[in-house]
Amino acid sequence: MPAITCIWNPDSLRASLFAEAMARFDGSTPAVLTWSDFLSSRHLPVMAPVVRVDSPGRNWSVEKALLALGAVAPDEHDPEGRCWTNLDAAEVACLGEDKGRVLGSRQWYRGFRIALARLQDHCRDGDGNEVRWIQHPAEIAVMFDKAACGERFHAAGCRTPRPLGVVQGFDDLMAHMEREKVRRVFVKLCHGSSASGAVALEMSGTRLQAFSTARLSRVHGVVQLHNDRQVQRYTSREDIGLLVDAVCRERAWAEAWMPKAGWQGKRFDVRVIVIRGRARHVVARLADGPFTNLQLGARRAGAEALRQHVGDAAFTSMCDEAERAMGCFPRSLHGGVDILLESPGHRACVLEVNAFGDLLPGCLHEGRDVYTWELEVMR
Amino acid sequence: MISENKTTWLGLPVFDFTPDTPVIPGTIYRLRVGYDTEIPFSELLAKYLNDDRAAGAKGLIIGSWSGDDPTMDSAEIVKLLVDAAPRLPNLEGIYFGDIISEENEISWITQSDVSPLLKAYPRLQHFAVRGGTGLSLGGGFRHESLRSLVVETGGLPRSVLLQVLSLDLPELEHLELWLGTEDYGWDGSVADLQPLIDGGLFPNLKHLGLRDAQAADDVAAALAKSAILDRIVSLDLSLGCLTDVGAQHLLDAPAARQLLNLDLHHHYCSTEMMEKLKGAFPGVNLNEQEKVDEYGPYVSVGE
Repeated sequence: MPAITCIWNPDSLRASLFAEAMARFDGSTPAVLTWSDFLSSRHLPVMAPVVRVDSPGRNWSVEKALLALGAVAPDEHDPEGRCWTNLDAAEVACLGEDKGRVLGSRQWYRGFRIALARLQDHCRDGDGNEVRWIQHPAEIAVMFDKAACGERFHAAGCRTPRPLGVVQGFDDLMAHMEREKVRRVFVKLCHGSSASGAVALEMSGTRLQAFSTARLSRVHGVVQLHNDRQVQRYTSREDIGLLVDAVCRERAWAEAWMPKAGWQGKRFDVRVIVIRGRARHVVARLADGPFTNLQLGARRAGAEALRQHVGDAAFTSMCDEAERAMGCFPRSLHGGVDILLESPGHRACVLEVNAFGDLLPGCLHEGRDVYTWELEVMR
Repeated sequence: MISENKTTWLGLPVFDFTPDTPVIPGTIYRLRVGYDTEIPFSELLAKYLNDDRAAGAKGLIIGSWSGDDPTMDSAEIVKLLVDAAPRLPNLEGIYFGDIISEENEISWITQSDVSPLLKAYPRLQHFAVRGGTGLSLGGGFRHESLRSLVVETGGLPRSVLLQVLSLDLPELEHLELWLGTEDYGWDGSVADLQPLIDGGLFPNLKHLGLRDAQAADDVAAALAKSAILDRIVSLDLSLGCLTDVGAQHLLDAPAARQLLNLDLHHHYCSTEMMEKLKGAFPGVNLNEQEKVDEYGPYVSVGE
């Protein structure tokens, strides 16, 4: 096993679990470059032959540094800076930590993309060859863009919910829905993860209702969004308009809300971890509402129980679909693919690929956890 | 929230009918126009009926009929099924509206007058309908065969409740009404249930379900003093907002002790009260003990 440099936030659960997995696997320890050191310094340590890039999330100073990096970068989709939230360097510097606040997601992404490109640039050996990436930075950048992922899934022939594309605001969304004759949609941050700022919106005639992971508030007349563990329900057109407009200011992607299958009295979707082209760990996530994220209280169910529930054929085609989706990222060893099983019939449909979707403590496939499998296939 | 389509009904497996697959005897089919189904309901039904084996069907389930447009009511579907009656001579059960929350919220399902179905199928034994908006059961007529009637709503309109109670159903054994909440259409009161509770209706009734009721405590109080409790063997007050107050009424009612089945799952009773209930009613279903949050107690199926 060659040595590995990990770039991550050192106090994260991801870091400690991956390091533990390495120690168990062959007694090795990773060389570590923290996101914070990387972003603040131009002098990088010598990298090991293999580099693992892990989530920069859940760390306010890193978040702020990425926002600052994004502040100076022009936006290829919005060269005049009119569509999405833009904070200048001074505004970013003044930001205090405001837990759960949805602000500057597109700008954060621009910064993250620059950071990934810089990382790629720096990670070369003496002959100028790139290191081996566990996930290639260019592909991580795509995985963090739902619009770009949508194009790749389409090209690969993956079954997905019907896309409505990037929407600019509530009125634009309504126009899209009218044109496409779609009455139930999900609106998601293009660059969000963990259902941050997600909205599930349904309409019937003139009636409208939305569920969201984001809580809407007005502070001194300014609309703010905060992610909340309690899913919020909105029924007034005014609130839903404000909510969708606010989400769309961070670049948002809309797609049809396909009916998820039910199980154990709940609705569910499935996280499938694909490692080196093969679907391995499978976790069904059962929820009471439209969002199935574990941090929102969804309950887990394991692979064998799911296989028994949906049958071998549906289970296998679900794994095939996950592998097809991950085939869009040939330079990445692993990814967490979210699959919806349609109700009824359990036909599989790709929702998204998560670059850092491999944090599933305690979840085993053929006796090994996710991180151990990642190490195993690199052996 | 209803999250699962039927997988079995009337003791038979349920499958979705697809036009290219032959009908399997001993199966109940669901006809459903999903959000990406290419053909309309009328065509789907025609293809189903064109298969000779459909004539033997004991049951039929109608799923979502309007694709992705929840404003389309069920009137046309009722008419199509009425016209199909001569071709479904063995039909014993119709489930009209097996639609889950992920397809359409229960209070957004747009129903219509479904009584022509009961009239067109005089041999029907089981009828279930989901969705209270626009729903009518006509009322005031006799049906000789119906053994079970289930009306599932997020809020039962008073008008529908009165229609149900005006039906003459000599064979009815199983009656299940989802009362729901005022937010979603329940505009009746427990007083409206009085003719039922007094025991003068439905001479064969054995199972009574007054489910998903915001007013579960009031329902329990009214039942405790009622004549109907002496006649039925099974009571279902599940999915609602029953608290210790309503539960105490059940404990205090001697007639309740002879129930063979008591289902209270999804409730707001205290753990102490649950112990008392278990002592008084062996086998009582007390699953899903809910906690009141800042929004107050809520029924299991709303929206």
